[in-house]
Amino acid sequence: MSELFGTQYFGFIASSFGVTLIVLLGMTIWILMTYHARRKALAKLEAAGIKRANKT
Amino acid sequence: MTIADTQNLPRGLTALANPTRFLALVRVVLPVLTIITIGLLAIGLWLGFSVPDDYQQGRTVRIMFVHVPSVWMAMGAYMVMVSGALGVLVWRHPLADVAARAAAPLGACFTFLGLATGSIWGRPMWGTWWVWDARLTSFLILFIIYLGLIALWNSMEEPAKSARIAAVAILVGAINIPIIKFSVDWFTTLHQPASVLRTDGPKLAPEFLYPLLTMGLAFLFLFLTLHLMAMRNEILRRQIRTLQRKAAREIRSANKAST
Amino acid sequence: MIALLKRDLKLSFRSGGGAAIALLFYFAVVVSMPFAIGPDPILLSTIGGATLWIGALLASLLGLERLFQSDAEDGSLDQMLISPTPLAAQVFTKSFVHWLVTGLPLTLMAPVFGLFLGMSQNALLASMATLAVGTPAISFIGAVGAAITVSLSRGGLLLSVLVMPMCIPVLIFGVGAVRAAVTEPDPFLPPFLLVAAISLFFAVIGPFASALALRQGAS
Repeated sequence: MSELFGTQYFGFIASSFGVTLIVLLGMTIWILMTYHARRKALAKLEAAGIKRANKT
Repeated sequence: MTIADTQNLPRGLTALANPTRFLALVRVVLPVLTIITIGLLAIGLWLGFSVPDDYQQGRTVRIMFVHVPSVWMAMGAYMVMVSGALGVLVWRHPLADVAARAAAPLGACFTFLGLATGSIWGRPMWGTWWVWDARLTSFLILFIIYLGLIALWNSMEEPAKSARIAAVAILVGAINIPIIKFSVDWFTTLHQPASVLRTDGPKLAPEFLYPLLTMGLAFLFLFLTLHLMAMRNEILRRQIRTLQRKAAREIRSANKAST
Repeated sequence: MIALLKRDLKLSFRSGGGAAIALLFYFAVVVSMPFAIGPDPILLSTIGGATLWIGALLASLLGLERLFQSDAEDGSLDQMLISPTPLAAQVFTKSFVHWLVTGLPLTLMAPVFGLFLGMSQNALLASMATLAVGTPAISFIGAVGAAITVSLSRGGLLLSVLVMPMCIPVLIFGVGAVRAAVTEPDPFLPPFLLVAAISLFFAVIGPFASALALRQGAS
């Protein structure tokens, strides 16, 4: 680890990469979760017999 | 919002006005983009961590490889929103608002990252987490503008109307960003002698430049990937909304028929 | 246009005196400052210009929410949309009236409130001058925010969030000019002229942007 981030400023470098990782990963996961939730909701609505008008 | 309105756009963009066709395109493009993003991130990180220490900044120069690309994407996302706003007002392209709206949370995230990593970088280099420096301040204001626009979108129900109103707000914000930048520049040169703070850093040597550009490209592809995914979510949200309204209407008319 | 000016002036004086409430609010902000900072006269006079400006900004934002909302409620907004007078000109008039009933009184009262803060005569004059040329910018920027949020039921807070960042340049140069008037080597005129320039800029851009927002919201 100290190879990568150095010893003197280890905390600063690690935390800046850490916060980037957390935010970007969180964003990706959030988007994916929303996608699956919406897919499910759409499937449920369509199963209930409501169809989209412009299905091409 | 008809296809006829979008006639004078390039053919490709006009074809994408159809959400089903757009979703089909996303299905094809998304895996490719994801692979490119992961590859570029891997190369960029590897390059970034194999650079020598900077003579001035020491090892903290590595923070640059996440900080600067975040800042680029924060501004790039606003550019996407501005083009989306123009697409809404000028061409009335149905996807323009979807694009603008999907870019807003991403832009806010990247702006936050730019501020956070900049602050973490500033601590060992300048000895403080925050200064009211021109760049920092105007970036903070950009962050507030992003959040305000997201709040504006969320407080409006009807998509077509909210698209046009948000487009006006985005454009006004776009006019204002250079003014803010310039005024804040002026404000700090007046009241804060630029002595210790050199935000532009050392003139970049090639051994730092190439890792940085690679990371920038990686972040660009990451943004594109996430943006397409967020646009897909937004389209689905609208489809669900239409279906729910249709369902509600059918129930209402059924009730009316039975009474 | 003159008719609209008269009507709006009359309305703003009749409906509970919006101008008086804005002034009262201004007074409250300025008075609470010494309690927050402490009664140190030197410190208070240093931040006096800033206090007057922040107070003016907040007090101007206060009445903005109603700028188009009351028109939207009683249907006169629809009349404005179809009237032969350009919509931007009507918005300009309305913003100007907003300035007449909030910005102008705030400017006139600023020296009185400044006395509480122990500001020097130069600083008082400078803050009055900068408020006089700067508060129109707040009204014109605010009109855009009001036009954007007019159709929202709880637009007031959102309006402030949207308008506040836009007003930061005015605030920076306004306070800068006041500070320059008391600290010796700094020239007063450049920041003062910049405030005026921003006001003029938004006097042009603001009405067109608001008109665009109103039309987009109506169609």
